[in-house]
Amino acid sequence: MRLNPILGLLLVCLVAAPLPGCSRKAEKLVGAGRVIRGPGGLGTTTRVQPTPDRDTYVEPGTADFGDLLIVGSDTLFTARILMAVASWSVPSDTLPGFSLGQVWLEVPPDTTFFEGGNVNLHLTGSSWDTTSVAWPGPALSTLLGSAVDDRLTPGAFVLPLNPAVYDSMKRWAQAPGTVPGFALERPGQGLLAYKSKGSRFRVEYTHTVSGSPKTDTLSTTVTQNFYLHSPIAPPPAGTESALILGGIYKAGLALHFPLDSVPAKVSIDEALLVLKQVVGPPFNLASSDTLAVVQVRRIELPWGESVTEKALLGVDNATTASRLLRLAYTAADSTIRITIPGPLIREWASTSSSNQGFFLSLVHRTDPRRKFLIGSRESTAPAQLHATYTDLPPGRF
Amino acid sequence: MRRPASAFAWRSALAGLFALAALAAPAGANSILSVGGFGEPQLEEAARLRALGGAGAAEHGPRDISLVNPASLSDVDRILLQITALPAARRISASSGISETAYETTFPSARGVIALPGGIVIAGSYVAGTDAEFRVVRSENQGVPSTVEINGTGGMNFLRASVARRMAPPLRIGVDWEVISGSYRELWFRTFSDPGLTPARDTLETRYPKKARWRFGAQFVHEGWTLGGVFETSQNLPVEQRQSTGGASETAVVGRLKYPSGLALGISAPLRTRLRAVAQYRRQNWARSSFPSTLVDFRAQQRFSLGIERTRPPEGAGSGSIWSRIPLRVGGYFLQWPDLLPRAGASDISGGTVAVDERALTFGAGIVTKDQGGGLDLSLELGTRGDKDALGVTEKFARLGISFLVSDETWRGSFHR
Repeated sequence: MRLNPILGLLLVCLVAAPLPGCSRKAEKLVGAGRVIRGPGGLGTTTRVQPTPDRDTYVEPGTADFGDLLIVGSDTLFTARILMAVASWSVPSDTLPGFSLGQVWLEVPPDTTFFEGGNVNLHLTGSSWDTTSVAWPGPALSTLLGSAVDDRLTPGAFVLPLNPAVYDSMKRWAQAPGTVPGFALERPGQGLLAYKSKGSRFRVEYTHTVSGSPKTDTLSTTVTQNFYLHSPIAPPPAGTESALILGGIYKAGLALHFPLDSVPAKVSIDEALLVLKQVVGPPFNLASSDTLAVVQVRRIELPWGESVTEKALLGVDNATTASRLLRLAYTAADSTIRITIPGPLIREWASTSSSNQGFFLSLVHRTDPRRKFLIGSRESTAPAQLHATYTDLPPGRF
Repeated sequence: MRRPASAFAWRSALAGLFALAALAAPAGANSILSVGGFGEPQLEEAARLRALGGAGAAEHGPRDISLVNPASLSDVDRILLQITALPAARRISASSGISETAYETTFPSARGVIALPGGIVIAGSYVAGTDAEFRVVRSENQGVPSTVEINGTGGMNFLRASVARRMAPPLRIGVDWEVISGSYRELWFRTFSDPGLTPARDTLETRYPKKARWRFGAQFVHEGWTLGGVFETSQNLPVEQRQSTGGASETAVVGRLKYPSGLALGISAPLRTRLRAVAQYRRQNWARSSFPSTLVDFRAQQRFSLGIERTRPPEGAGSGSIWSRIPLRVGGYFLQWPDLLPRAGASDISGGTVAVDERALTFGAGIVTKDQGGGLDLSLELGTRGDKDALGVTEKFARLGISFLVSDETWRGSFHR
């Protein structure tokens, strides 16, 4: 008996038979009704839209250690730049044929503000502690030099110093710790901006080398600089109908939403912060607004609406959410929408004591004056937190 | 005449088959009625006995092994490996008039048997108890509208160690030590028409610790008649449920499952030369107390099986046509699922329950290798279950059982002698 052809056919069938199962068709409508899991069905998806029970705006402090230095005044806003030097490089006046030339301060300009005006460099009356320095900072002492920054000359802004500063430099080189610091101020209305890196003191001198006079320059790098500005004015009272986001004071929003109605063990389908712009020019895609970024961080410390400074909020350094304003802004209803991570909402829902709210800030590098006025809980268009959640899958038995 | 090249080809084909069986995902859904309760009860038998309606309690012989009765191993005199694949097609019809067809492949059992000196036979098996594979897609409108896709896997499985021996010419006994394993796992994927809502991926797991129970079997053989009986002990299993989503989970013990005791009684009777009849009654004592739930009730699972087999001719019998030498089988069964499910449209069983009865006609044939130790068996099961009025759906199914039995002799090449 020859079984091989039959066996072959059967084996082929055997090998091929499981294959249809790999591309099975799912029961969709026909069997779906048999998924019976109790009166709650397959779970309800609930959407809540709480408004803040606390909101205000705060400033991040009067000392700004960012990469932009601002000096001058803009109505109630006044700023000055503080500088410090760790060590000095000063030419010795005992060099053969030594002759002092120019002494000046070079500060690289930033194009953010160029409202030209006179800029003065002072020696400060005292040094400062960067962890606690605040407006108005150390008093201004000796005027070391003055110049008009009209931005007509390309390159760094050059502020000539009195030749007598050279003598002071020689002393400072011997004992750098005795130098309290320096302050740049711009009297009158108008703002000037500089870069925080690249400032230096320079001394030009002539000395004899191999019988010939030679002109050299020694530079001393400014090792610390930042600016102090006047406190936000008027200070927030917590009852304003509009909250300031951004602006020259870099104001940020502190918002707290009650999340007691969100169960702890749910699937978070949506967590969206919705802010309504109530006053001011809307977002302009053709302007520098396109580069602005909205950042959200969580607040760690309890706070009340009377708070005016960001430091009292204990804002987390890590960013919870960050979005380009042009992607977050909806022109149709002048709203800013930022998605918040669902796990944060769930954490706050399960441990309400950890819910101290959000801190929102605007990073607008090209126009630091730009601000958005957001409706507060006292307004008719308060901020909202759109939270949508679904119950966990109901049990099989 | 030996044909070495051909032998190599066949061994390669066998190796490929086992590789396929090992690698193939146990694709597929099972009955749509398995989306609740313990899932679709599985018949673990190989294709030969599936073709006889699953009546295996009275089976015995060098290769005629049954997974129902451990005593059926007593006459095995070599090493056997057996695996069964079960491709199936189902036509599901709903009371709304909509119908769909689904396809799947499952592997109800696999077994290895070794005959030891002293007439002792030991075996290890994987046995599917219930299968809860399913996939449904459903629109939900509670709260924010969504579409939920649920992919269910799991079911009850058994890992079984067996020992059997013929104690006297008419008496065979066997014992199974069987670990009840398995779990139920569902992946929920919920999407929303609102693009602002993030799809949710949730998981529901129901599990229980692995615990063992005993199964005792015996057979009495006399002049071609065989009586077989099996008794299964019960076991208590605490059931834990875990509901989880990204970043959150909730675990709770939801009750104690009492896996019930059971029994099987079977008979094999000679009708005439090469023709015999088999019958079996099998019962597992599921009851309301087995596992209190608001979503499913239980009754005893009962399977009534009948079959008639035209056996292969005895060795040494004269040659005939190939069809006259192939064994043919026909049978049927009636199965009462243990699950009593909520009525169509209800949210739980408070409004009453509906039983699921399954009935099928079975057919089969097979071939045996020259060494009489291995073979290929096929079965075809055509059946129905469900109730369109009470459950909202009926199912018609066709299952092709394919079992491959290999002995050590087969593997060594006697297949081609």
